[in-house]
Amino acid sequence: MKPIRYFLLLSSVIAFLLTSCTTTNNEVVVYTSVDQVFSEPVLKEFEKRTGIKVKTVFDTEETKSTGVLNRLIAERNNPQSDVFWSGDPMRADVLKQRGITEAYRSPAASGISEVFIDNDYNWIGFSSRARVLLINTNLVKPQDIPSSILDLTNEKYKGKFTVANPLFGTTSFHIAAIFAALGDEKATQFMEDLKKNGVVISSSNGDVKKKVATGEVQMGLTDTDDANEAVKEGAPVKAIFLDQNGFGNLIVPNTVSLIKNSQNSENGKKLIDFLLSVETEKMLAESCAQMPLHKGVPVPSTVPSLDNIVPMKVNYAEVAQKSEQIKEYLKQWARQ
Amino acid sequence: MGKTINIKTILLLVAGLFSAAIVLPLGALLFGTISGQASEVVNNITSIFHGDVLQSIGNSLIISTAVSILSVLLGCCFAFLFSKANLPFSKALRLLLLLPFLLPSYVICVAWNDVWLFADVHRNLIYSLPAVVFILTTIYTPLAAFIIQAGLKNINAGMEEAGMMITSYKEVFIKIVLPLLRPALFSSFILIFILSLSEFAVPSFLSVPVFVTEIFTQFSAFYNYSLAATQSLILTAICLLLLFPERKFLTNEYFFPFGKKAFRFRMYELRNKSVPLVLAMLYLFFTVLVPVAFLAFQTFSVAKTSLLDIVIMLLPSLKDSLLIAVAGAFIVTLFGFIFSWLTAQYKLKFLQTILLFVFAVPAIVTGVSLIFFYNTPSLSFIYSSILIILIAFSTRFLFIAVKIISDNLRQIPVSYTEAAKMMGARSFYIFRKISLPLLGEALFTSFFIILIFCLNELSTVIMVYPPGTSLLPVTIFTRTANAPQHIVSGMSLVALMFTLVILLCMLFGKKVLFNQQWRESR
Repeated sequence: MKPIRYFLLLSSVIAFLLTSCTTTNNEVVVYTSVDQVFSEPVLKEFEKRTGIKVKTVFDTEETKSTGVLNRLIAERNNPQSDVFWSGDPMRADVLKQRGITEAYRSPAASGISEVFIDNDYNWIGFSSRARVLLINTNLVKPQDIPSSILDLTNEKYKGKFTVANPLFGTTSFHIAAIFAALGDEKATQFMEDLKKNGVVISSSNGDVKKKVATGEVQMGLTDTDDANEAVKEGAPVKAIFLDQNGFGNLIVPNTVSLIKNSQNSENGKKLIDFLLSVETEKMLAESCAQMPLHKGVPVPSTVPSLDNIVPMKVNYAEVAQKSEQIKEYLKQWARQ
Repeated sequence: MGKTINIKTILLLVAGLFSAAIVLPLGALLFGTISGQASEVVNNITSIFHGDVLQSIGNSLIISTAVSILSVLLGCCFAFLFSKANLPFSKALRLLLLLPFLLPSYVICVAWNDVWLFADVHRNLIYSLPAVVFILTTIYTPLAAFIIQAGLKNINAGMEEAGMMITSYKEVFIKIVLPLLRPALFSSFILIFILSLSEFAVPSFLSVPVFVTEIFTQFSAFYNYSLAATQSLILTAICLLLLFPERKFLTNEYFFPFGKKAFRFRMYELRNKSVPLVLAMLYLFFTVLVPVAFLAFQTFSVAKTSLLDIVIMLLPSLKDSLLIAVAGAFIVTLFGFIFSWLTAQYKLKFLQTILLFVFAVPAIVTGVSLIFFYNTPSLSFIYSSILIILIAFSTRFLFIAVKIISDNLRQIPVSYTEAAKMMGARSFYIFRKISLPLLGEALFTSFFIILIFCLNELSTVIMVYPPGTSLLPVTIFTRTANAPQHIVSGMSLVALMFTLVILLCMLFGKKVLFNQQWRESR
């Protein structure tokens, strides 16, 4: 075959590629920072039930959600996405503060506590995770398990615990919640004490899970879905809810927001209704042990109930704003 | 004559439009940064002199310099053993050496981290600057070996033989081979320096603060685009500084020498084959086989793992990745060729400087600039289709293609084209009948290298890939967070095998294509 024929062949392939990217009206575009392994089955189920084609841009906390959040901010003047499904309220609030989302009062949110709903309905929470202390049961004796996050400053845990980089993901939200709960002065002291006690900073919550599961460190702060994965993999680990006799354990709901001036907002609303439904909460409970916010959702026995956890009493919007305020401090803290 | 002018004009127009497509987004972002409020610009620039930022710049420079030097040294040894010495099993060893280069860097990094933890290496050693240097060196050594090997193959045997008649090979190597190899050594150094300076995944995973992680933090945690873009300018300036020595010492020499144009090639008989063979095998065992074997071990240590299931899971990504990477490599090579030809015709050397500038900008900044520029109603047809990925590939890799092809274009003896001109041949006819066939191997090499880069590109693509598209590196990366370890390792193995199969198909294709061309020419 002569080179010119190779050229024509490749050109045909490229032309095919370019023309194959057609769009249809019956679609919805969703950007999500929830891990693909959990979010994709839910979105496929929506597609199956409604016949609406779902086009997704996936991201993950491992990438610090840089992809979708920066895309949403950069696309502000010409939004490509209809819906943002976030793994935590903080990112949803960042978008709200920048005027990227709009209010949508979904009827499916009727059974969800107002604590988990933005005052202006720019985001609505559903299926929640919790921040937990994951311990390696081979390395930590029952009597040595901390009961409060503040215990981690104790000398006996020196160099034995890890947290993910507090600038990113649910860890940043967790630290901001601690600042909101304790006040700036006490929280700063706590952070400094953690540092003095040799805290190991991991690249992500997934990395925390891995370090604890492999015994590289004895314990680490992560999310219930990571903890659940470690258990499913057969690692010798256990998730501990902290501060059950104190200021409570942080609960981190997923959130969903409608993007302002989006191209398929009606389909976007349908997707939001589906995500906020009992069915979705049931699916997420089964796949990644997320705790439903609706009452009475049937869940596997391994999924903890919110009724049995003392939650940290926080105003999610305020925590999100606190997180913005303390970022510069956290950047310095993480580098020390 | 009219036809010639028209074709040249069309090519110039096409190249101009294409340049605008890849340069304008970055130019607009960076111009917006430096033309903002004076106080903000000053603050952004002075922030660079903050202790932490200076430390991260220092770390970046140390890592890039060390990785470049080590990779070039090791690459030089391998290139010599593989192409000048009659080392046994050299084809198999060459393929083995290439493996780390075929996988995304974060996969290699995670594999190494697991190996070291398994071997109970102290964590202070794992999460350290030397560990970053080690991993990046294993990744970039194949690239250096590849470039230097091509350089060695281009040395005319006559020169070495003339030297050997009067002195030892040691002298010949120092006085003849090394100076002739200088462009290949220097070009691999520059390329690896820039690639490791822009590397994010490995230092980030091993918690080593580098300048790119600093820029990334400004983007992802602070959403401070202007500061991140200003910092990117500094990074780019560092890369551009590298051009000065290139301009000073290598003005008329070849950056990527490929092909054996009119030269006889000399091989050497090793007196003692076993020592270099054992050393090469030890290196390959410890730096290539161990992490890959560990991935395999993690995959198959869980009884329920089926590689076929993983392949089925990744099938949409494999298909999309292959098609888009082939399209990307084709377009980048095609425009690399057009740019090279225009550069040679019109002496447009500044084009390469602009392309180096574009190449040196961190991938994340490139991604954001593409969003800002293309996400408008009038350009939505680009932004919402795979065209945006092809532009991203071109922005990232056109510099490499132009370097490969333009240096080979310069290698074509002027006498060939002059003889054709004297016979009355028109420029386009000369180009079609002489330049193009002689560039065949360079075009193939460019396509081959760019294809591998396109298959593994993550940082820019994750910012711009259209909803609904499924690309392999993005799929693996986004599934890594919560998929079980054996699945993650299995996906990495599938990605490796996928790239290997493509590589072998291409090598087979090259053999068929160029042998056929050789027969036809006879």
